[in-house]
Amino acid sequence: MNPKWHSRTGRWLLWPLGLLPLAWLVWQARFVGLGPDPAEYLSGFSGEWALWFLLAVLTVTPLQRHAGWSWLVPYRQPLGLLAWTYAGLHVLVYCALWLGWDWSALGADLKKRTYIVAGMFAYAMMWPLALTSSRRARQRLGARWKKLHRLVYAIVLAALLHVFWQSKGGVGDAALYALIVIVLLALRWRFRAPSIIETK
Amino acid sequence: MAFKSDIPSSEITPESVYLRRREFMVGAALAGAMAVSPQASASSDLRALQYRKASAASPAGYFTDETLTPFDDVARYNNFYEFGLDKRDPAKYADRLKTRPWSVTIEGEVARPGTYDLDDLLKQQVLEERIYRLRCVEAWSMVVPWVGFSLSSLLAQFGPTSRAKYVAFETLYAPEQMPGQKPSFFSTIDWPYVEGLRMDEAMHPLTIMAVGLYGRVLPNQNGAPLRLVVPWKYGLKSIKSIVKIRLQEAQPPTTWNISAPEEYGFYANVNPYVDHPRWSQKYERRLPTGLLGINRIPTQPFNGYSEQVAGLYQGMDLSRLY
Repeated sequence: MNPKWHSRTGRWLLWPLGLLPLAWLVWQARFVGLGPDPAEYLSGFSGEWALWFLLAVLTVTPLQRHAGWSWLVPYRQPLGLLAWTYAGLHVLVYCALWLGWDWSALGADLKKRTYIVAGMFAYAMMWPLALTSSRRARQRLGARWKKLHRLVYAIVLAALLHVFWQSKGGVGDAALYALIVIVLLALRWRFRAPSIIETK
Repeated sequence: MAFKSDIPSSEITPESVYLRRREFMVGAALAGAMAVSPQASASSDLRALQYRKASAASPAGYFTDETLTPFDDVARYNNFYEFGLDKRDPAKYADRLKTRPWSVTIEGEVARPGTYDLDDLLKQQVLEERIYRLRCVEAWSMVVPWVGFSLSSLLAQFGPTSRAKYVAFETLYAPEQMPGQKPSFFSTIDWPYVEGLRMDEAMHPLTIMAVGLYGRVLPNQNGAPLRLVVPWKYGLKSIKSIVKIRLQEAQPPTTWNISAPEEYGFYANVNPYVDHPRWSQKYERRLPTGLLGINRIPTQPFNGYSEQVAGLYQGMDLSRLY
């Protein structure tokens, strides 16, 4: 596949693929049901997929630098937007099914509960990145674009804290995500030198 | 410690009938196996029990006319971490649990300590139905028709001494049957699961030992063959698959309190005014819920059993002793 295929066709094909979990969810809701407590099921499902896509975004750079897979770069935008989509679903489920649109309950949660604050921070920070993810925005922002999009590290750390702080009974899942993030960040650290040359 | 019963003696199963229970149960089991009921599904595999039904005429608190949570939801949505952290894990894996023969060890401040066969213990008990609200600390709730007997009548079999101030319970420890008990670096829980009640809570007529639900033997995932049910406390107090009961003078340790003391106290009374540090306890989702009808209802103090149990906690600061 030539590089143009990935940036023209491939990255659009990622969307139906990335939305397969959502389609699976709709299928389940329609044909087998989501169980007696959809609130719990849906928030776990949407939160986990948001995090997996976020981790996928972070694998692009190491694979590009380490394995020379630069053809992956065009996929970073749809991967990021998919993370933002599932995170949006996660927040929607929380507001609708956990809080029943009770805004005073949201206020109380944001005041008292650090894991909700961390999660909300992560989601809020995804917005500027989603809104400036297009090629046009990237060109317009120039060097500032790269700085802005470093927010992804803050997002992933806040998301990890959110997962750790909501754990109950075991932190196995949270530890797995944390391990993956540590590996992905360590791979960047090692190959930092070339990126410094890139930025002026 | 005797509890004055307001059950008319006419409602109590005569001994002659009671002694024929086994024949009845065999008959009922056959009938159950042959019955074709649209609601039966998974429940039809389980042996039917003979018991006294709860009704509006039962003592206050024994019955509620709220909509029952369907059997399939009660038996497929469980927190029983011995079988996994996911709510669906217990229904998937609990068939590994061997519930017969089953013995229960009674020790501590009792006249007749020892290890007893569960079926021998059950011979001394008359089963009755209790339709209780079950409020999980995670802010969801169900309405469950349990079948069991009062814990006080069980404890009476062993003659508690005057030094018995607390009752400690312990769940089976058997990692080969309960995969969630296998040692894990990431687990924040020490097995076996332990729980406890103050003596007056244990002797309260609403506190029961359940051996069934929906008229049938308890599904393994619901804590077979013997579990505690304390309807005014969060579900985590209602310890499952009990193998040991110890009466003692000191307050016993409890699993969730050990795991996260700032989140779970010894009492764990349902209380909308004391939040869990990570979520509000003001409301609960009464299951089953849908995507549109989320069935979010206000949580009641003592889960709606204030009239029966608030007196046990008079003078206690329940925001501190949560």
